[in-house]
Amino acid sequence: MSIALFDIQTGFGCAITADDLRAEMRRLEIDRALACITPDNMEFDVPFANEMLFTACEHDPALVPCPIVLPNSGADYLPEEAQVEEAMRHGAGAVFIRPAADYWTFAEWVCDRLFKVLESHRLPVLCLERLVPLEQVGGLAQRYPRLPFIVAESSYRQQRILLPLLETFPNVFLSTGNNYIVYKGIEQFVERGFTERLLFGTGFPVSDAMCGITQLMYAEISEEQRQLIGAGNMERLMEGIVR
Amino acid sequence: MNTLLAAGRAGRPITDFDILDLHGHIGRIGFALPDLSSAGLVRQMDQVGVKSIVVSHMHCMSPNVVHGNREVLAAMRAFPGRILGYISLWPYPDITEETAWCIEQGFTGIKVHNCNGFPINHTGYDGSYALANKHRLPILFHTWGSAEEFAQIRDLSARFPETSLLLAHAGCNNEEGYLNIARECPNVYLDTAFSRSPRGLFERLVAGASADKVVWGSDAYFYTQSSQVGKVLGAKISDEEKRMVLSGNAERILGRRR
Repeated sequence: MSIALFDIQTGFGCAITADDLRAEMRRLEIDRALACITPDNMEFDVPFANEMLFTACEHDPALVPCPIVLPNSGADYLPEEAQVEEAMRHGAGAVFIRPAADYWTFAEWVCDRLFKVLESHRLPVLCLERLVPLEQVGGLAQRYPRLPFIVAESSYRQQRILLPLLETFPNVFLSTGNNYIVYKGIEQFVERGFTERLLFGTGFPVSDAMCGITQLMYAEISEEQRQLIGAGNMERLMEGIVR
Repeated sequence: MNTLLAAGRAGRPITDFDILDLHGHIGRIGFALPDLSSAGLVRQMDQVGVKSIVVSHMHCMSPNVVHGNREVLAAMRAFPGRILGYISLWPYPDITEETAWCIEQGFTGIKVHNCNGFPINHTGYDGSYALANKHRLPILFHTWGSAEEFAQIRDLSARFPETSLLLAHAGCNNEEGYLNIARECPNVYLDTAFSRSPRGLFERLVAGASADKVVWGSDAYFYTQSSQVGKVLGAKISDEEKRMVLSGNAERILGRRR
């Protein structure tokens, strides 16, 4: 059984071009990728970054854009509805938030409008743990229960927090790979019935992409479970987007 | 796709040669690990195709090294040939007798962690290092790339030339420092265990130090073996070089023991 892979934790920018990402995907037989602009902390011009991303992903079904969104609470950018419409028009599979870099907070009076619009479209939100701590993910998942939140770049030391996070909030998903290298972590989530909440990721270009692949491919789980984590769960999440 | 890359992509256990993992652990640590059993570790080794792993106890980071060594011995006896043991050291009280006893029991080498605040060339370790030198054992050091650590390693390399000194987490910091010491000291080897597996680091270690100076260590079950093997299987180097890192170099190091 050939396992299809949809890498939900990758991107390009700076020294790594979209073509470099495509070449690595071909080399490792990764079928699709949810792409962000990387490194995420260097690009302060959100419309410029998103335009770069949309242009690079255009006409290539293998690259699914994950643009940055932010509250228009400073009245200096597109209204939230327009941001989400733009993302969906370009085929976004999720959106990326980075509150500190874009100078906003999760206070309801700052960002409620943004998350309500995202929730109405079920457009998943990618939350890198170093930018959105797990407690804040839990808070958001509680406030917006129909909005999927994807936790990525989680540390291998967080299993004691990640398990109850997924148990408590059915709208929270976890990316494997990158720094989530918990010994038998995938197996534990699967045993507890969370197969459909795990999403394959690599962390490329920061990390060697193959580590995420072997982590999934050598996990002690069934081939059906591997297929769901490898690509099926992300495809299902994208099918759920109200476009 | 070369053969080993294809095997990793397909999740096929590597059976063409014996993979030896020179950096493993058993025992409880502060963060949650889903399976603390030795049997579970061996099951994961079977998934990947790892013949043997050399483990120290997580207590290599605490004063309770003797307790840890006994747990390692139990794992070695439960899974002979699959789980091999590193003797964990602590500089006080004199640990030499414990080291000698563990060697008699069939331990494979020594593990020294410096999170205890003691330099790895602390005189309290000298008796154990002398035994390692006599028996040509490998010594695995936790390192984090400081100039101070490299100076200590150079000192040990010169004083105990019959040992094989394995520097864990090579390239985590000061990549050039790791490459320099591996090139300079014939008995120094670079271990690959590193959580984030930065893109290209492993290939740069092989290119800079040569494939025969790099050994595979997973740090399982601190990390998962299934992820750490990926950096080797997926590297843009030849299958022959991958085989040296995963197997040949470790066989040579362990084969020197007397």
